[in-house]
Amino acid sequence: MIGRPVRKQPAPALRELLARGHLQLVLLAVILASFSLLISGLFALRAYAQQNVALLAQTLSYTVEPALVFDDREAARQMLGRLASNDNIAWVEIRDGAGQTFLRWHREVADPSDLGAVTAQWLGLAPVERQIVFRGKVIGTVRVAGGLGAIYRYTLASLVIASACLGITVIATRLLARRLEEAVAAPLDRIVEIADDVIHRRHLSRRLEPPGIAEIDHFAKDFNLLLTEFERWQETLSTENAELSRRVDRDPLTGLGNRGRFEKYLTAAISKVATNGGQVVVFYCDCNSFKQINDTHGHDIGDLTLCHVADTLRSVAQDPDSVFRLGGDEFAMVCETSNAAALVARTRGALIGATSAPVTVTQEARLHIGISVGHAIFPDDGQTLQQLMRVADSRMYRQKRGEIAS
Amino acid sequence: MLTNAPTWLIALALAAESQPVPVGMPLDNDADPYRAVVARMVRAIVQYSRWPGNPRHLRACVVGPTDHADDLLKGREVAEIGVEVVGRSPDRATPAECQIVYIGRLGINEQRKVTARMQDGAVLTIAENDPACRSRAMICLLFEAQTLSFRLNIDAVSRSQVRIDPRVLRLSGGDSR
Repeated sequence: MIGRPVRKQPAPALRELLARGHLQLVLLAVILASFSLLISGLFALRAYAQQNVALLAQTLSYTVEPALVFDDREAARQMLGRLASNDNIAWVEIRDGAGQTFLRWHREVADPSDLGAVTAQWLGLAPVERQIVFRGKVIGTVRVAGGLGAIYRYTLASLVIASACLGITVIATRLLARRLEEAVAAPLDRIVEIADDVIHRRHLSRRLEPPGIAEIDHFAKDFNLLLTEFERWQETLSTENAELSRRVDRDPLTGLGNRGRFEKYLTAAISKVATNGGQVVVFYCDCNSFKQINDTHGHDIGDLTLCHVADTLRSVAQDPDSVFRLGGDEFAMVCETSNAAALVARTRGALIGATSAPVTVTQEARLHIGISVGHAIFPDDGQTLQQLMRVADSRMYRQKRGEIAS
Repeated sequence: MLTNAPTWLIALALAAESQPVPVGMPLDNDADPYRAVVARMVRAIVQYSRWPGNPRHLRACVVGPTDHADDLLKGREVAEIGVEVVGRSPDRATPAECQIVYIGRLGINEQRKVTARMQDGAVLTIAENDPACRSRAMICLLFEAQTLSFRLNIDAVSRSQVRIDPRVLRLSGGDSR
């Protein structure tokens, strides 16, 4: 299947979405309202106009009667001019009894009569005819046609007002949308910001304040719960990680660092001293009688012996973390100093002193452990870890041989 | 009466130019163009007038010599509406006998004598020869070049027991337009 090319358009902003929604709604409402108002207004106006025309025809048929009887056109003209002066009258025609035109009167402002007539017809505004009766005899007729001035004005005013309303509502919609957006989008922005903080900086301690909108409050609550859950989870994870990494380079029996840790530690100490000056002393220790104790008293006692040696070294060391078990009964200790000779003398003494006396390991066993100590000094005895280890190792063996010999 | 429309239109234009000019009935093409129009005018005025008790028959007395009342004297136009026309000397016309008095070519004092005599009765007084309307007749005819019109003496009208339709007041040149 060939995937359709998906053009990804940027999603519209909330404000725009709100504004668009409001605008459509408001436009619909305003247009419907103005349209219905216009129609109903036109109907009402039409009724009034028709009534107006009928009334004028009635009035004229009475007022013009003497003028017709006296055959006085000018008087009739003046009456007409006064009575039909409002622009709701298009024309008036008076005929005498013989059907001859006695007087015609037209609105001076000649509205496009075709359009006016067509519109009038469309609106159902027919000319109104009344008889002029004098002493029971029809002496003429008066015909009055309504003008569309008022209707034109009303329509125009309606359109203008509707447009103004539209304009105002469009502006109001924008403002409303902005306010709504502030209420809705600001909390969302804050959520996004906090989420970014969590993703990029692992700041899990921040929380959302509920903004006061039910759905977003609910969301914020859940979001905060999620953050709390994440935080707890991360704490557990980091604890476990620390535990694991502690286990990886530590000897589980004595709790001392193993060979790997020792090498890292020594390398770091060497590079530090090489930069800052000073000396690093590596002590290398070995139990003289570990194999014998193991064989005689069993592995349990052997383990206890190792723990005792570890404790002794730790008590002597500057930093408990600088003591390591390299394997079997081999231990190492790293010390930084400015006076290596004094340190070596003091430490050797302390170590040998602490281990030369018999130790009560259990109630049954009082054991003489005894350790051999060799040392190497950086930078005096070598530059690398291997050189230093070789020197320390050979010194220790020399001492061990001496011990055994003695 | 519509045959001389162009001249009539000119008169109208003139009338429109200089208001208020009394306007009225267009004239005929005749030896005496006013003759027939006077009869019609009297008829129309009578038709818009109301006497107390609405008498069925009215008598019009033409008083003194007249210039334009020939048709009226013959009863033209007015006979149809039940008006009988008689000629009377100024002294013999009385309110008891005449409901309408048409005053002819008399001096202003004689005219006044007639109108004074008629004042107490229900009499419609029409003066032919009084364009300034000083004879205290209710209606003064105005003979103009193109038309016949009239002027109302409001004082006389309001004093008289004969009521004239107020719409006619509008037509006349004598009202307070």
